[in-house]
Amino acid sequence: MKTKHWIMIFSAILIICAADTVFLWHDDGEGSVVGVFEDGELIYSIDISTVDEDYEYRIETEYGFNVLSISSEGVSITDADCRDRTCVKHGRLRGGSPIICLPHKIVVRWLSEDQSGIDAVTGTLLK
Amino acid sequence: MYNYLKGENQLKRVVVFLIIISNILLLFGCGAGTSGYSTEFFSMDTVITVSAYGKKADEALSAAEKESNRLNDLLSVNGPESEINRLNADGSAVLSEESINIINTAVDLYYMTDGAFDITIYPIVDLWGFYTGEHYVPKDSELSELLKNTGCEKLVIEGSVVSFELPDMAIDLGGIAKGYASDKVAETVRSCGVKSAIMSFGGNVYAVGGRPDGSRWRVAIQDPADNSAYAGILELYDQVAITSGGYQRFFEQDGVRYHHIIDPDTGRPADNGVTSVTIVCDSGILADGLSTALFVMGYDKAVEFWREHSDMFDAVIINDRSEIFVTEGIKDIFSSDSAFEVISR
Amino acid sequence: MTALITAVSLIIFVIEAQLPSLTPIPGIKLGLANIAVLFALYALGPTSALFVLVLRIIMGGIFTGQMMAVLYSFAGGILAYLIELLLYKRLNKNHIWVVSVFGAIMHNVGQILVAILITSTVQLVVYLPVLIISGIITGAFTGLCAQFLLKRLETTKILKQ
Repeated sequence: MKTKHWIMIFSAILIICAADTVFLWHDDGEGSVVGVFEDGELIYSIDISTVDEDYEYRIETEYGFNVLSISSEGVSITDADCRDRTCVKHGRLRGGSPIICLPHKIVVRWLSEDQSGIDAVTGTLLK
Repeated sequence: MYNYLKGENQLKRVVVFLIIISNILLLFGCGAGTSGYSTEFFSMDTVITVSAYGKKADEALSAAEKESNRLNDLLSVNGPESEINRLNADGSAVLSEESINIINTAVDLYYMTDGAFDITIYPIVDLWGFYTGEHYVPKDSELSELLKNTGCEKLVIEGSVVSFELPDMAIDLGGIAKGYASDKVAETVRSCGVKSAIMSFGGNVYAVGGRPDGSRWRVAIQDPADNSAYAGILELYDQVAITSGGYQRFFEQDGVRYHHIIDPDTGRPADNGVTSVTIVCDSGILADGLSTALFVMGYDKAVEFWREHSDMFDAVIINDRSEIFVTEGIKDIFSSDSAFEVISR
Repeated sequence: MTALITAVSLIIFVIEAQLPSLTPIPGIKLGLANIAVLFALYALGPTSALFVLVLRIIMGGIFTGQMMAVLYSFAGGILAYLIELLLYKRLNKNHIWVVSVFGAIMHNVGQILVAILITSTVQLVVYLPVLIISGIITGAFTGLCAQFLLKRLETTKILKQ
């Protein structure tokens, strides 16, 4: 296979990936519910559209802590005792890209929840 | 890109191909990331949805579906594997322990509610055509004939044999099957280690624990007068909420509406001013049976009944004037945009 | 010779560790040090290359003080090594950079997989496209360097082939 062919292949992959990135990151979260996961398990969720007063939620894990700042505009991690504080540097939670604190196994991302705070309805359908 | 199938080139081709494919899959897969927690399927003649949270959520969901299907086959009146079917056809049958337990609970409910909940009225319900879809308004004479064969005192249960005292009797566990199923499925889900889940069995809601963040599950009660609105919201934690209402299943003939909740005394749809009864308690099978019973009883008898058993359950009763009554035990977890009255013990 | 290459690899690794992270996932590296492994593969053979790799991973972890990152280096490094091993004899000398690109891609794939496993979050896979792009670019860069170097050294006949 000629060099030029390889260049074509890799360029193609590059373009696909670039498109993916734009696509994925543009998705600015459906709904307004944010979920906090520790080690894959949902430990906290908040619908930011219901937040009147900004507040802080402190996450304590066996590895350390993270402080989540929550307002009706969005959430972000404003403090943590992990080594590189990448989670803090992430800034406000955006579309497809979750806030991650790897050492603490914390992931903060949008949840796709549909209703206005109703989890189920009784009395519907046929019995 | 000719030559591309030649020996050594093929390997590279494959590798590149894989990278591109996985990339494309990623695009689609990413959206579905969050829904490992919910499932919806058809069983027991209705739609069942289960949402579970936590590490073993996926496992719990498939276990839940399996259990629902098993119960569906066991308890339905129509399935080929149905024990109840056999019993109704032969007038007597050896049943599994599970079925016996359910029938016993049904009989207990019969006596407890003074006959307001009665599984032996199946032939009447059948005549009305609620199961077959062939709706029919029976004559008084037909009903009085059939009523002679109803009543749980005519059921004989000896060990694992159930038999009918009179010919042409038949039972239907439909009034408590879903409630029982919700208990069993919740047990299954809990045994998977899941501590937070919310399930709906055709409108029978079972809350396991609370939401993942510890808050209570918010379950709305449908407004009997307006299907798109809510009469109120219950905040549940490890509880069941089951509603019975005439508005759920009915047919109209000659301008008259006939609903599916038959009064075992008259053989006709219960007609006493109540449009919806919601029972809140920790047992699905009880809630299911009681919701039907209290609907049949009507407001006064229902309140009296509750006062005698207030430690067992709570209720929300709505009448045809859209007035809402809530028993004392749940007054703190019930909220509504409309005014409501609290029934005290 | 192997030792020399390993040392170089380490140096590159440590320097790279000072660079800001490409993604919010701490520990994910560009993989520039892979240039050494690749070079060793062509110049000295698979065993030496493996040696360089493992040694760099372990000592890199010690030197940079991030033992967590060792897991990433390991996953990424091994996967890269395997695919380079698979390909290096099958492509001609002008395409060493191609081998390197594949190596770099697999290196990043390995890192993402480990990250996903550790946090139990499949969602991290959103970073894969970015890392693939990075892999292609750094792989091409390091590959070309290695290729260049090998060509030069060939003429001076320091090495066997």
